Amino acid sequence: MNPWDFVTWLAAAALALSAAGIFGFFLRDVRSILDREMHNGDKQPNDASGSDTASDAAVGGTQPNPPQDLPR
Amino acid sequence: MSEHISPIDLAVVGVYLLMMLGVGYYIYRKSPSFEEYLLAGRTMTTPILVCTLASTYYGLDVLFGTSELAYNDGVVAFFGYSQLSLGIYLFAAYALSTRLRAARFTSLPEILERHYGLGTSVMGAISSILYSIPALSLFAIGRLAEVMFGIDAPIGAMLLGGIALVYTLWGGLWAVAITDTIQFVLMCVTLSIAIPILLIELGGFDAIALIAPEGYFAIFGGIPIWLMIAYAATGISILVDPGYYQRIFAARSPEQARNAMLISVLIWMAYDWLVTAGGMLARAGVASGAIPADIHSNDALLIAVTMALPVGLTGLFLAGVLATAMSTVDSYTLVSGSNFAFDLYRPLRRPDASDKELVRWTKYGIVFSWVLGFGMAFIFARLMSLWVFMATMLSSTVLVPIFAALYWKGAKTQAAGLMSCLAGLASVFVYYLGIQLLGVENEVYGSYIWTFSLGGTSFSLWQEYALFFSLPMSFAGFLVGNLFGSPFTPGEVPEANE
Repeated sequence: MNPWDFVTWLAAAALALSAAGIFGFFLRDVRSILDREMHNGDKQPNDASGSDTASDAAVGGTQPNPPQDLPR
Repeated sequence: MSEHISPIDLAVVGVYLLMMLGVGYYIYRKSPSFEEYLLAGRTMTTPILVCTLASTYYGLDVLFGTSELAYNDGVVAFFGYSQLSLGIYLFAAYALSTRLRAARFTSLPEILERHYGLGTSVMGAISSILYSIPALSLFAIGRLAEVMFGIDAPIGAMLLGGIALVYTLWGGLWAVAITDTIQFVLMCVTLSIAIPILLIELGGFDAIALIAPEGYFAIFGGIPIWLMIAYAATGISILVDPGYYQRIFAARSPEQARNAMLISVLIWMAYDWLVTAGGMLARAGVASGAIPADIHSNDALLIAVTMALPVGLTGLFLAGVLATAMSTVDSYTLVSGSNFAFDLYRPLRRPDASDKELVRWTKYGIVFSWVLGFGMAFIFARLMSLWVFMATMLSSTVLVPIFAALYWKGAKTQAAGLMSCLAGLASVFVYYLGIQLLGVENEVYGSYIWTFSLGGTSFSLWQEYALFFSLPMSFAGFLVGNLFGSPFTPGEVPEANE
């Protein structure tokens, strides 16, 4: 087999398998993500209760996040 | 309509489009908050990030542009054009992703706002909005509709691009990410089926070798070294790409952001090679008479694949090609919308804007960006050049101040941010104007080149070299501004109009 043909088959297999594998993991994650999203979607805008993020909790709406030190 | 597309293929494309709308509507019914709408609640896991990164950053320009280069010039399309930016991508994965995610930013201009104040942030937001206008993608969608479905390009762009607009408006980043995932699978699977079929039907690389012109298998072809460096430098744009930043901010953790980028790099490599091989195989197909000789090299891969694939799979491939463009349109209109609402409307008009208001203004921004992109798509003749200019402008304006914000440990001043942005922006305009006035248009490369002699040696300055001048200028602006400006306290409340 021509080496370029081999590389092409290899790339095709890698791409197809990666796509299939990643899609499988996506299906595993998506249910919990959407359930969580439904939970958040039930709250009223500006309701910081149940929030787990800094910007959710900003008083009076979404503001720039408080300054934090960048990792060194 | 192409004779190789059957009603079954059209039905497959129709089902795909309905699925996209369905996902958008599903998320819409959940009324996401602003952080959910814009950053998917910062809960994206590695698989979703890979899908959305891989499909967003690879549009039709890669599918058609790289395959056209491969059709004309051979393997240099992969080694000389696509892979030279690999080092930049790896840097983005290891050094940038984790740092960005750990600092919990919301948008790219917000980094500027936190470190230099409002003026620099507004400049960053406007540059980001201009860069994110989806003119090129909407033009490509229109052209695809024309070639494959026989619909006028503007109508095709309006209908198909309109679907991307609707589901983005409905669902924000969640809708974009979930549709990106479907689009990613379509992109990858159809290409990895189509190219091996072409390989078998057209006789593989042995057949290519028989018709290959000289240098067709030369790794770096005959590209001038400086042009090669300039092409590699185009990868710099990912370091300030607002779509990339948005995905990193949306990651569940810094590690997931890094891993997603690393996996995406591997996927892009495989994808690039398959597109390159497809372009070269299409040329062999033309030489053997299997593919009509009068095709444009830009369409070669598309025509070769639709001829090779069986009914049904052709529909899937077309859906995959549409997906490639739609995933770019949805992502960048959302970025524009967020810049519009979070980086312009909030600080300039309503510092206390509520979640609901920000979501509403983000939607206005999305529509504004889409309409502007649609208008530009069918007004400007040289969209690729326009996009390269926009990308150069964004990199020149914000790269230095963003990296200084992330990595410069010393004090920073408001003047440093502003002068860095202004010097970068001004030098791009001056450089482009100068080269267009002094140089000559090169039809082959679609660029302006100014050739001059200095001390008996001839030099050529290409339009693509703009970053070599603008980035040092931007850095000089930063140093000068830092020298004379007064220090800006990180996190200082930026000035805003009441």
